[in-house]
Amino acid sequence: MIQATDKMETSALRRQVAAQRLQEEGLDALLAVASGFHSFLEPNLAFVLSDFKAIGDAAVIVRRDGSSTLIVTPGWDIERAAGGSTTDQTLAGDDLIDCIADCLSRDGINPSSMATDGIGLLGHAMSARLEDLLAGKAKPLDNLIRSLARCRSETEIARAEKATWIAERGYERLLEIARPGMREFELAADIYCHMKEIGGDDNFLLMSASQHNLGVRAAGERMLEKGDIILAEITPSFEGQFAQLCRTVVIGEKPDGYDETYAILQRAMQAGQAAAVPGVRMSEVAEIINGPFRDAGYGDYCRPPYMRVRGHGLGLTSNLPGDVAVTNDIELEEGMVFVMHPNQYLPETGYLMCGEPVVITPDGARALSSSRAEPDAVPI
Amino acid sequence: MTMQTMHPAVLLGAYGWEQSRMPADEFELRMKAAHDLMDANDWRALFVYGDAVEHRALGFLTNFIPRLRWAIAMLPRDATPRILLSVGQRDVPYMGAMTWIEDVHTGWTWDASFDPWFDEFCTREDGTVKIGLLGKDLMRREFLTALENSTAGRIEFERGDEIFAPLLSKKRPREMALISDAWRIVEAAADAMAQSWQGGSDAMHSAIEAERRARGLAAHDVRVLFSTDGGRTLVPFYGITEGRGDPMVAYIAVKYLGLWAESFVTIGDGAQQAKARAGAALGAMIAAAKPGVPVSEIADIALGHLAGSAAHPMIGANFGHAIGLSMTEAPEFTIDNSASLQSGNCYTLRFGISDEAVGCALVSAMVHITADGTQIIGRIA
Repeated sequence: MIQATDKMETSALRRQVAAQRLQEEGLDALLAVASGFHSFLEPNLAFVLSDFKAIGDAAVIVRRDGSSTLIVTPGWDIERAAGGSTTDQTLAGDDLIDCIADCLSRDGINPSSMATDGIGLLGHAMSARLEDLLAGKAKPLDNLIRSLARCRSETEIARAEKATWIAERGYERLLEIARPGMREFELAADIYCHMKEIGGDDNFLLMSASQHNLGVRAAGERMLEKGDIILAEITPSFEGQFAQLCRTVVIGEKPDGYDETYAILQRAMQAGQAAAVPGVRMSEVAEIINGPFRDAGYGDYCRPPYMRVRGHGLGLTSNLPGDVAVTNDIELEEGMVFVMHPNQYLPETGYLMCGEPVVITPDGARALSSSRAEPDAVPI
Repeated sequence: MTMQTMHPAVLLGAYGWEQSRMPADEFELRMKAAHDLMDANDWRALFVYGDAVEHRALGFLTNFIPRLRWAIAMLPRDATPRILLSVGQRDVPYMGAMTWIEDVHTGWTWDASFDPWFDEFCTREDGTVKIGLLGKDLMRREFLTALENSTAGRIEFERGDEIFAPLLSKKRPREMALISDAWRIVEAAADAMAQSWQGGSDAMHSAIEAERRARGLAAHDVRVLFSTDGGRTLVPFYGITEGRGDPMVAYIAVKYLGLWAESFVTIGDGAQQAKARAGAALGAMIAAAKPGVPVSEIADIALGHLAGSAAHPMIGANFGHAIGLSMTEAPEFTIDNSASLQSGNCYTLRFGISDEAVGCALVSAMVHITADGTQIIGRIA
């Protein structure tokens, strides 16, 4: 795990590691690019290397000597970027490729002595122009930064913990205001803005309800009713670190057997947390999470469309270790952060959600949340 | 065009197919227009790609808007269309309800959802055929490679974005009605922002009240930028931002049922001189906005009103753009742009000034250019 200190920010340490890689490869500079897409399931390479979340397309150039330049779009965002970036230099303009060309020309960097990362994450218009600029001479080192950032620093874990705290406040708000007659989008709007007020700068918020859910989706027009089961995937970001809580709430009285069924998800979560120690493969963790479902007679439901994955990585840093899935053989390392969620469709109750953001420690996957998912209900 | 606001991790809001406002016959008319263009260009099908950031053509032809990743619609001239969504199989039934296309599949299993459809398409056609392609610029390398691998040697793709641009630019009556609805949400959001700020809240919390109001009115998307330094710089939400500033200057954009409206908003007593000059400039720009007028002429009027002051950096020398299915559409209102105002299109006119002596101001108005004149959709004083 990268140990960020007061003297050196995490992003600066990662640039240092990237510069070492350049020396090993005999290259002069790394160009890492990112679009303004801000997917919570993907790394934003410019953010990882600068600690600045740009509005639009952005890039960081790391040179062999460790010096660095952040380039952001649009140009009018220069002041915020210069104040927020940890790079040595910050540039801004309205056309990223033109800015990169200017910077490379000014610094005398030859494309044949460069590496690139992230071009595949850009749209064709941008990637084709960049490929033209580099004339096919730069060496692709795709996934270099994603790999460098696979374990969170203490600073990043602290931010993820703050994001988790925000998510918990969002869930409390949901329990406070959800009531029959309210539309899904109204409930989502309120808790979304509530989390924004306390620092949630983005939010992958899925929240929907039904008498028998088949899955969770983004809030729609549906009006909440007595007996609905609300599913909430609450995923705020704090300073670029996403954290996700998965929760299930009944409006009114719980149906018969609801607590007992939900307890299967809780057992799966506990088993997964205990199993997820450094050195274990993610596929093994996913199999262990499936165990309580098989034991309860639901082995046939441990596949799509009854579930998708048992968790996944989170952006904007690195989405590694990837999906908590039986097909993912990545070896877990201390400091990896992801959401573990044995969310599951069961015939008696429909889809139920139970999940926490976790960090891998020698003792297992430590939940960043202060309380565990319970089969909650909103009294009416 | 340059992205001007922070794109969210997922598009929130009550997305669906609101058939009372955008019924099936609207899409029949749009597809009829698309078929005419396909015939004129000898295309046997049209492939339309969009993602969560840009989905103008996709939304126009299918009503589907990707909230997180991408989608591609395959629209053959004489056969059943299919749309592939970048969602898991579990989510296909719900997400598919957003479009009139009935043949909806997950795009995650490309070999199973694209290849058989395309094989069948090719067997119906005689020899190598041409397909129009919209949205290629948005495609990531991995997607483009998959598309090319599946179609290589059997068809010829032709870029269709420029050919379709006029069809997308001329706003249809239902679109104008929705733009007006989106504008009313912008106004309501601006009111909420002003009430909050005048009640003593800081700029960030006032901006959040604007967003809360807009989302509560079923906005599909809401983007807000705000200032804490008297309008000198505008920032997106990122952590906790303290400070009020006077004036508080903000930018609010709202998407409602697929159509955008936007406005700059200025609250407070500060920078009255700058605000007055900006208002006068905007008034002159609106007065000049008529069908056929070059956008450079509007830009020239704006530049004249700067009268030695610096343009606001958020705007620079770009004093407007078209708006509708995308937040910013061509043309940009710059002095060197040869485009002209088109009857039937909807535009934002904007002016900004940043001057140490008089302060900062950003103002805008939305107008609909018609053959009979210019209709002001909205202008916040």
